Amino acid sequence: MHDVSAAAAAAPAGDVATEYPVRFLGSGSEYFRIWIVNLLLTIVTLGIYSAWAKVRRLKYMYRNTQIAGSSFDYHGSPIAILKGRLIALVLVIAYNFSFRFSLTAGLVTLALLAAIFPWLIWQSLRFRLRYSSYRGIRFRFAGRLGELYLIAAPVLLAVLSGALAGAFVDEEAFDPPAWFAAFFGIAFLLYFALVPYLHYRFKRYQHGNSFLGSTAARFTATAGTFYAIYGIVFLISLGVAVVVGGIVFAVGYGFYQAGGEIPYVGIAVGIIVFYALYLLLIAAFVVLLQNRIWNNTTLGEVRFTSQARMLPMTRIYFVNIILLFLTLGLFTPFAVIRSLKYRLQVVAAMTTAGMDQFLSDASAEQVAAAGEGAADLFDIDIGL
Amino acid sequence: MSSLDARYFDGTSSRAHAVRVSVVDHELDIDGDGIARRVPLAQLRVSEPLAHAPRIVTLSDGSFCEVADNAAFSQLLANSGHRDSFVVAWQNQWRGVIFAVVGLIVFLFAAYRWALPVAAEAIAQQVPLSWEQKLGREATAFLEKRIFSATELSSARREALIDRFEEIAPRDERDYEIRFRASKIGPNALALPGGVIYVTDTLVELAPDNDAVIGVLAHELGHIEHRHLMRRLFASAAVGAAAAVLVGDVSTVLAALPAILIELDYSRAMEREADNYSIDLLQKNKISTASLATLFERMQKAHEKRSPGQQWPAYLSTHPPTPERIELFRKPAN
Repeated sequence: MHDVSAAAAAAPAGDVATEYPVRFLGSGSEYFRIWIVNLLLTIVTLGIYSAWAKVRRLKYMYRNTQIAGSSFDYHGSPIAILKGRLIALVLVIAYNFSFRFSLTAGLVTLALLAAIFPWLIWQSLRFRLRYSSYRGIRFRFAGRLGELYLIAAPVLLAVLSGALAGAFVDEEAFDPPAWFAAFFGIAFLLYFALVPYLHYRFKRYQHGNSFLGSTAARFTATAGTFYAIYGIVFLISLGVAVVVGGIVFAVGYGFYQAGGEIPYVGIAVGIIVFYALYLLLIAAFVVLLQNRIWNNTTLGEVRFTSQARMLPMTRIYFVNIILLFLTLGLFTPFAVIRSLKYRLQVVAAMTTAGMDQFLSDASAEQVAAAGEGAADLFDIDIGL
Repeated sequence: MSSLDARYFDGTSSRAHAVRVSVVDHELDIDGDGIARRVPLAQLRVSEPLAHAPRIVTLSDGSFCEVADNAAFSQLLANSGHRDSFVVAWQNQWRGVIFAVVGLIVFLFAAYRWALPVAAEAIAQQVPLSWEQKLGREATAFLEKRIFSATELSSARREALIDRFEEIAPRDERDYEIRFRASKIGPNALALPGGVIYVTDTLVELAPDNDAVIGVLAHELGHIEHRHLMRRLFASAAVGAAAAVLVGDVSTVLAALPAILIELDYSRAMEREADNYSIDLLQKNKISTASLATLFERMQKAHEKRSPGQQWPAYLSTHPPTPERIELFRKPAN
């Protein structure tokens, strides 16, 4: 068989790392054809086909993503995804109707959902990696369930205490003592101060427990990295708030001066500017997050670099929104490909040992697909 | 027999082997870089073709070949009897794709136009009355606390209105409760799930006579009889879900927009239905709808005085245009 040293010999000699940029070969017009057929079959079968559609979509994305001339691949089974989606559907219906039924039923359902939510995410992390491969080597997720519950605990606590307060406190008769209000105010602020840390812990959990075959990934970012990202986005949003406030004030003043005529043009321009700034914020968050995360992830001795930039990303988002609007949604597949292509092609793998070095791990295991489908329906797919 | 360049992976190492593949006697021949294998075609799995990505031929033991020359490989496969799946053939033809686009539009339109109202109505009829009443209780509690205060109408006027209305819409056949209330919201009336009808004092004062108020009450009763609020609840859930499937993976904000426009359209359709219910009920009891029309004219004038020149475009309104409704009420009066 072919060992690691033979693979290393194939790579350029010396300690100088070779850069393998990620290439994405997908095209909007090709994906449009897959997307529209997927959509029609999904709607006609009342959603049942959506599991097959998902496999086809993921296979398209994975197979068109290449590093060093070879593609990724996705092997998930539609039946497993369908089962997961049915579980998710039951959960959504239970959640939506339990509060109508009775308060107790609602709270019990919410508590149950909160209790199994981390399990679902854990399942979906395992499923997704287990059924992904590069050059025939499967990925694997080895994170422990208990750690995820620990990370999720503050979020679940906040949701549940919010629901309990909303259910049992009569706002009219409620006159809290000052210490009580102060306590809750501080708890509230503390929770928001905790969000970047929790995000960091989740990413460390996700990337730090991933394997490609027998090669372990490591996540070297610190909590400080995430506080910096949130800080920068917060400063940008402050700037955006000032600009938007100015525009709203100017338009409102113009409205007042014009004596009651609704300034349709002004409102339209205002909405477009607001949208552009809003997209800038999203792009800033996505770009900062992607760069810092990939620049701090290694796979064995392979490093990654990501050099996404805010303005090109904003431009892609903005053009996407405009064209989506003008085509009544038919631009969707083109929009997906445009932003994915940009986000993937700014990433590169750096290695001194070449991409032939990975070996599979014999201890493969089956994973229930329940988590994957459920996470999808609840729309908390974390991305990259 | 011609052979093609391919990369072979054994499934246990990520090392790429440069090989040549060809088909000989219903077997795939893989040869080169230390690999020499022959596998019956029946034991192979061939991936679906993509325009730019290499095609993958997987062997039963998990090893596979990536073939980059898609055109030549498709030819090779066709010669050896391989057929792509129905969906793949469909995706790869522009004619089929245009059919899918048209089919999707027709399907969505038909579902919205015919299936949704029927389904929403069927589901609304299935909802137990106790649910509806519970929903209504929550809403009335909020309205009583924040929006309405005690009525200033004389009890004689109120009783006259309620008695007259109960004559044309007997309480023993339908369950409803009429509440007169003072409010800052101006001349208005609304129906809640469970059967509570609110009428503001200003509407009663603006009405030319009792018949106009009876007309308004009949309109609100129409909403209750047709269970419009429950139907709206289910219809908006369905439309929201469909919009999320269509464009939700790119922009959730954008997905909300068509959903809102469609909901408004649905809302206007239900207002028309309630208007017709009111006209039917009044005509059956030999009550003229002329004063109802007059009331609408007065409401429109009052609105114009308060905010001149302001009129939302029809597609952004929850109700049909007022002139259209006035005309509707005038017609049977003649």
